[in-house]
Amino acid sequence: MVLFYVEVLCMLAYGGAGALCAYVTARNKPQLGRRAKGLFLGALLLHSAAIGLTSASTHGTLLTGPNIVMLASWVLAVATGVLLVVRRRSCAYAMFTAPAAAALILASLWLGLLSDGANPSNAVYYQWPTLVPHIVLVFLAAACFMVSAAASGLHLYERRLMTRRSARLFSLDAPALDTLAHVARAAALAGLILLTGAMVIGFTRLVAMGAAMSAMGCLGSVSYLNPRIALSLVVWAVYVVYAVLSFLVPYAVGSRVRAAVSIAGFALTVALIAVSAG
Amino acid sequence: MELVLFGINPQRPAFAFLAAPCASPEGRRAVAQALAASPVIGEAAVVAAETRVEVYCTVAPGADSIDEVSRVLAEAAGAGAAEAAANGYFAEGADAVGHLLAAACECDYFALKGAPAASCGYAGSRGKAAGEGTPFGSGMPAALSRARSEARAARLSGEVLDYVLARACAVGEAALGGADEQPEEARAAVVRALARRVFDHLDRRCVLVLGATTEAAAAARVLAEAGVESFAVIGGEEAGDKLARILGARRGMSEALAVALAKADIVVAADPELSRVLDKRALRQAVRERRGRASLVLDLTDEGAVDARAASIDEVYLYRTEDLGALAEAMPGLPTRASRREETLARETAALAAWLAARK
Repeated sequence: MVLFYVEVLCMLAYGGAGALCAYVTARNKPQLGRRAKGLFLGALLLHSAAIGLTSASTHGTLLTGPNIVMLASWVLAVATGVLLVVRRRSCAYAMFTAPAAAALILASLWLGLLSDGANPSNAVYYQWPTLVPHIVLVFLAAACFMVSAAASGLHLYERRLMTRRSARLFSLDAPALDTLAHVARAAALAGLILLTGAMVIGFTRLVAMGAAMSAMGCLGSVSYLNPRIALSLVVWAVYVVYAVLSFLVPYAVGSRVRAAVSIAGFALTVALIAVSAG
Repeated sequence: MELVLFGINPQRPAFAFLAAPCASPEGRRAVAQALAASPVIGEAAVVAAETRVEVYCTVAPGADSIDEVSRVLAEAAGAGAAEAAANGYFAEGADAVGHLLAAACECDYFALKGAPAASCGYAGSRGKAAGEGTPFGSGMPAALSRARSEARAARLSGEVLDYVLARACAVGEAALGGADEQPEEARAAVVRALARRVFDHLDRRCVLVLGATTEAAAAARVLAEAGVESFAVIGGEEAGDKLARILGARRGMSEALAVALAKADIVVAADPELSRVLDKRALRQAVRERRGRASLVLDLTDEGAVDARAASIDEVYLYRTEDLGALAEAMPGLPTRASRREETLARETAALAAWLAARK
């Protein structure tokens, strides 16, 4: 019960931090920025505590459905926390990522209720020790893609204000257009590299499993992995296109198209996490 | 002597009836002569604008002038003095001066409220529809000027009223003629804010200045103060040389414009001839050579010489002089046109009230 309350409190703190960050960004109130950052970091501490309590109660961190989503939200929160500490005007990113982290915790709770009665275990971990780096790499990639999508969304919004000659532009405490474009590119590239690493680990395991099953002559099926593999390839392809358009031929399409590709890539990443957790 | 004002409230239905005698020059002269004939009133002038009738006069200190003025106006309209007093407004001393100047600038309550329905029959009371061939000319400065000349011609105004009306007329003309335009600092603040909104840090940015007009020099100076270190100046002949020396900038030839454009993060276009080269094609080529990096183009030419279609390029942010002006009006922390006008009014009112006090 304590764990449930901690998780609810954590969601509320993320929600509050997201709202405060949105207020700081939209109304240009940098004096409230520190409070927003403090609230977010407080929520991150609660989040870590919730994961610690769960791990203690299950004698180890489970790498199954609900907990995967919980860990994904934690990695996203950690990445945002780092951004909040090292970058100026970073409340603009947390405005997107804090509610996303809260939503992921809610999804994790919901999945936990749905799978109530099941007896989850980490048996697969003992058969496949590289599962941990695989999952961590996917989570880190998803966090990078989220940051890239947040920067792209802000870029689109600011660009719209610029082209409309809106004075609202001056009451916005958000990074400059050039900075947003740079963050979106860099985060997407980092995410692509991490996702590639995760996919290499996953495909190596898949090939090894196939070879082992053939050698033993047993008829195992890995078809349940097909949607995950297909979506991973689609996400990877989208970000490869984004990286090519951003780094190799940046003049081929406009910044609006690049931003749209980044946001679409993140939407597919969310679908990939949902498929993996479900 | 003290300055007093009595006006007929145009929001009231009785306005058309009470103001009708003041629609013609003869009627105004008759009213002013009747006022001047009063023992408590010294000088008098009737100001009649399209939706306003006000009487300004000087009275002996302590005299009960409101009854006297309302009686004269009521008699001219064939009404009772109580009716005129009930439908009028009154001010004296500094308040009268403040009202006169605000009315001259067309920013008092009645001017801001717009023409009330009650006043429509007033302009048309001589057989003309409101607004059609109106006998009042255009605006309050014209009405004040006419009131002043009519009072002088009828020898009803003296040194005080003549000076007060002349001053109000000058203040109104200056305000409505755009003399309260934005100060240079407001546009400078907008240029700086826009550059920071696109690039954040400006220290490693390159600015290309086309032409060497005063506006271009002001924009370049602002950007230099904001941290830009690299400038290139093309055009402007001797003034361009001088500007390049002040900014420590590279001096370029117009033939090298395409190369300079590809290097420039911010373009300040002030020379119409050179700015016309900045069409969509040239800017698209520049974006290509800049590998998709954003450009801020400030078109400071009067005619907007930079191709407007260039704004459709995703990476080009094109702002014209009027855009900068509009943003300066709306930018938080900068004085708006209304606040600047209020400041001018307060200053002028204090000066005129002090002048009147010294005359007592």
